[in-house]
Amino acid sequence: MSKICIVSSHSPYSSTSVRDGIESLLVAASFDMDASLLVLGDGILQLLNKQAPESLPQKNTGSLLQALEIYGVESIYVCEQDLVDRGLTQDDLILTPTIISRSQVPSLLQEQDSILNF
Amino acid sequence: MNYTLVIHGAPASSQACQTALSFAQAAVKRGHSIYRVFFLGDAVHTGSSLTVPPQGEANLHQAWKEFGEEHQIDMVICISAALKRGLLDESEATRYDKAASNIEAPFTISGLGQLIDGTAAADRTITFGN
Repeated sequence: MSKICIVSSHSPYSSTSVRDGIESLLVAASFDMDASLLVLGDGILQLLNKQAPESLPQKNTGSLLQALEIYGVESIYVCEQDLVDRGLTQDDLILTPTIISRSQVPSLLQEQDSILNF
Repeated sequence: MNYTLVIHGAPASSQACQTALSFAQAAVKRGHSIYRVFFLGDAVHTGSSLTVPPQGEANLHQAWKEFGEEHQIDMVICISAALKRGLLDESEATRYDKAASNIEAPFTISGLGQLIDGTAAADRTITFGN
């Protein structure tokens, strides 16, 4: 099974990058690929559990991410340093992503057959 | 090496489309092949045949069109990004009852499935401008 990682490093509502990334992830999963999501930098804000973007109006990225499991995407990675930098903990996040250190990122990417940046 | 290129940046306000084109030209010149070019987000404007760049500035629509035709490159414009930006081919214009269309061959309009397929089929996928 081909491994694909979507790297998402933008905050949720300033552009369509995040939604484009999530949609690509869903398509990859529907293609029977081993699809994972690596959230970097401000991308961590997509996972906040108290988002209320209704007045923007935009779709809640947290809710979109919650749908990933239904599509068979179970691997979501975040960097511990990105949480620390923003004063966040696991309790602030929707889902339970795998928390890795910055130094583990290269090997995670190394295992992939393909990577798409959003 | 067989490449898929993914372009995010707008042709008129970023360097992404030009950098991708320069890469594609260099790759082909060195004997590599381009499996697919996928225009996503603001990069879909590259497909508009109504683009009129100012004198002395590069015409990226024309440059990609010529490159695509010369090397038979599969150049796909993301449908969801295109429609909301007013970029339609003839069949979409008919479907949504619009007065005009601005996407024509060698560009085609299709979905994200083409992005994932391109990524899976190519030896390398390179993203420009995000």
